[in-house]
Amino acid sequence: MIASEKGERRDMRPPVRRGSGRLIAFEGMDGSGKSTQSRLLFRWLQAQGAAVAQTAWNSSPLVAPAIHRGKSTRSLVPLTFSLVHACDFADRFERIILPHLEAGHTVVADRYVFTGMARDAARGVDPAWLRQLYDFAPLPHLTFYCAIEPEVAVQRLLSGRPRIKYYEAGLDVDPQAVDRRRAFVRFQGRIADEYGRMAKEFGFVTLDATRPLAEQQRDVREAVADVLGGLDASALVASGRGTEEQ
Amino acid sequence: MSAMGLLVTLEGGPGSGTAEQALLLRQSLDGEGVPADFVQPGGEDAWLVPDGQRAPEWPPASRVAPFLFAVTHLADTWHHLAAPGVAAGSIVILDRYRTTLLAHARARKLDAEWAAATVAVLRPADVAIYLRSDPVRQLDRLLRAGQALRGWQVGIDVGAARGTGFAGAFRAYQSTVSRQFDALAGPGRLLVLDGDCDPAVLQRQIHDAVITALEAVG
Repeated sequence: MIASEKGERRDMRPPVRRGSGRLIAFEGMDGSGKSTQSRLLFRWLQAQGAAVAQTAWNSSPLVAPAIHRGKSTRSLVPLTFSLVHACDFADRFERIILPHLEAGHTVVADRYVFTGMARDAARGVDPAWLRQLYDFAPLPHLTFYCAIEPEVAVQRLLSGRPRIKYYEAGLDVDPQAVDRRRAFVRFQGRIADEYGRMAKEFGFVTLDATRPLAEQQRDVREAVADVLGGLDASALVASGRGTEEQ
Repeated sequence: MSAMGLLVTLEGGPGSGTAEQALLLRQSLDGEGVPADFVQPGGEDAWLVPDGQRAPEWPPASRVAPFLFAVTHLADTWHHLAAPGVAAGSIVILDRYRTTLLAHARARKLDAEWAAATVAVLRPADVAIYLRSDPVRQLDRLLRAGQALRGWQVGIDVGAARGTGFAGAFRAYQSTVSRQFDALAGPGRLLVLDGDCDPAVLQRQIHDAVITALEAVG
């Protein structure tokens, strides 16, 4: 099972060498602004001269064709949805995250294993099995949870695109739904419940995602500076203000 | 025939005769009026590998991702290809399933406990039969069938082919896999049969095991 000590390797499988890198993750439902916050942090760390890498959920080029095919044909059922995304994560973990950590770099992850745990549990997959599934990955040193109400998130998403996607509305487990927007709110509400439970279990740092971007980013940088050391959080907060659209 | 069918899996290394015996089993059951389906994971119906393409070519150091890809594939195979038949009361015969995947995972040095716990999410077989075969015989069957050896069959990603050539690597790696099959066998878990015996004799043994299981479920 998962050890409680943050930043320590959790019985990682297969065995890996431990490095001195730091892992920082951003979590939250679709439309919560976590990608914006993680990108701002990444750029700030780069500007600070830190050796930093970023990785995003669902971005393994080796697994992408399978995920695309599964989603476009709506072939994914909760278990295969869970497994194929775990595969995506595992590929990025083995080829990007772990090498950087072993090299002593900082890794900023736009979504981490908690996304799989929350989404899949909301789809009815056994939470205990999900925890063991992701047991090969270490806990982040910091996990920011961008908390937001589903109603607010759906407004944000629909301000930038015409419709909510099939799987993000959970229509695979709610096939009778006639209103995709309401289905999204229901499904993402269940995901938020899972995040709420994990926030306590894994010691997330919760951000109020309805606050101004710069204020959230200031809190992020202060927390990260504490973990990494040698960074001047206050000097660079202003540079992020207004530079990114939510 | 019971309302619910059976899931029968034939497990073993490449060239151990699982596909041949699975087809023979389906034919013999069909001949007796017992509805049976043969499913080979990795067929054209699998969405994981788009038509005309191959599975991802994993970097040699990848361990967890290829394993999870294979688990995903088996879960998809079960859900879309096998489960409907079982639910309809058929005997569904799968050419290699959980045990074969676990044997390879262990041979590739994945954590055995983690791999087993992960695979446990897949629906277990009602009858799981391991065709134990000598790697020399396995290799001979593959070559006679005109098959070129693939990297995963010779453990090229775990360094088994270093300095030994493909044939030597196949024998060495499949010997390791065979030991992992043996470690996974046990009373009530896996029926072990001699895959190198006369195919007709082997088929009778497999057939009898399935019929016994069928009678047990009423």
